[in-house]
Amino acid sequence: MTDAPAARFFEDAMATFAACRTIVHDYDIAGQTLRVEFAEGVTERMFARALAHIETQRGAEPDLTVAVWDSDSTATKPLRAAWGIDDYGPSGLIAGFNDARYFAVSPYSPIPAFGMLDRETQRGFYWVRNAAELPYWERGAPLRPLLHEWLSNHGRVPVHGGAVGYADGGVLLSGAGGSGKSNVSLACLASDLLYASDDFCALSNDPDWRVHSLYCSGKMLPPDIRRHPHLDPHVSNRDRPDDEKWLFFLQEPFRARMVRTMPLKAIVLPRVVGTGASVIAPESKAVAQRAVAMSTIALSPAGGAPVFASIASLVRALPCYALRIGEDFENVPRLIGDLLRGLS
Amino acid sequence: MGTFQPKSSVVHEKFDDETVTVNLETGCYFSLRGSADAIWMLAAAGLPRNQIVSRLCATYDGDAGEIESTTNEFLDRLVEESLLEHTSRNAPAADVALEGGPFVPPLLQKYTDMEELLQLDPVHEVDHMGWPNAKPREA
Repeated sequence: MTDAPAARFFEDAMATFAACRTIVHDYDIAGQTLRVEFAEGVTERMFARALAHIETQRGAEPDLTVAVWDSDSTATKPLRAAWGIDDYGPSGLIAGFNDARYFAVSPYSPIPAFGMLDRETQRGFYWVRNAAELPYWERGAPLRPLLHEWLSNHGRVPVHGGAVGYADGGVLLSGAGGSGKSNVSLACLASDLLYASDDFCALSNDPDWRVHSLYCSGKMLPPDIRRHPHLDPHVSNRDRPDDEKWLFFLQEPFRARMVRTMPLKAIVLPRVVGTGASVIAPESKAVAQRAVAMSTIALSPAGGAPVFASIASLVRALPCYALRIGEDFENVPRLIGDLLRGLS
Repeated sequence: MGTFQPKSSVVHEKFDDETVTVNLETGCYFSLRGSADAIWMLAAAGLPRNQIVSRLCATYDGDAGEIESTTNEFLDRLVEESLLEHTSRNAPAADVALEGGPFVPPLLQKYTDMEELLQLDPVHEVDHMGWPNAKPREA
């Protein structure tokens, strides 16, 4: 035990969690074993759905153990921030609580929530005041900043992108919000393509590039459902506020279409044009670097420079394409399938 | 004579005929094409202004006066955009290989679409739709 504020806060939080009854799940996440100790109650029901496709049998010692709880459903004392409102920085990092050992972040949440990792003991926690109030992006991509940091520390490259393909090779779909990557990824569920991600995934390079699925969720703006009749019965949050994106948990309805990992064969940058026929055409590597790196850096809790260099290595290794999405959105999965078959 | 160095928050990668640079502090990123790439590499390698110009004049076909004025303007722009900074270091300049040919004026394209996102404070500034939607700025 040290007197550092980060160490004190971490240990106080873990002492609070120790009072909770727990449900334990193990996950194979990009080749690492993540153990999540959920407090019984809302957080387990809320978070486990998005990770269901990578759950594994309880095994040996995990690579990381994370405690997850909320105060309202466990009747435990809420954590009180030991920092000021002005200590939240870009990417949610908490000033004065990040050092070589500890990583501390506030997720992108409108309600009080904190996450920490202890790199020395490979333990972490995620706490939220009331999990039932969590917005759709936290329910769909639970623990994202913690996993982002942890995977980065273990040679993985978390990226902002969708991923679809076949067991022997897929594409990374990348671009800023609104580029169409979620819509394209989710449309592929109605084809013979497999689904790894619509928004966040992780890459490895050992020595070939592979994509690893993190979440079996997907999301879209409600009006977009007209393009995805196969998803209409599976909206998880019709009862939530109108301004939430619709959120889908895909493991149950699309179990056969979920893929945990696959080799990467190409980078595809979707862009909604809205006119003419959809087409895939070669794109320059500099354009791909700008698209993949910048949207990923914006999501990286720490360290833009290593992300930029890793993405450059990825972009140099794979062919890059632009996908211009025209009037015939329904043809897009076929175009991606044709591209992948052509690259075999 | 003073030299240049990339600011500590700047990263760059070269792809074929284009270099992509980012200032991670501001979130602005740039595409460098034409002779911009050569000027950037020479400046980043630690050459002073006059040696950058003379190296370009020796490498490319073109009017020396035009190469000099264009290069000086472009170096000033790189400093203005917080990609390069002046330094008084005297370390030996790294070797930079350049391919000859006609001089193509430097092109710098600036992208600011991620500036706001990189600066975004998730607690104060994300709207109810969550990342990557920033709260509208108050008038």
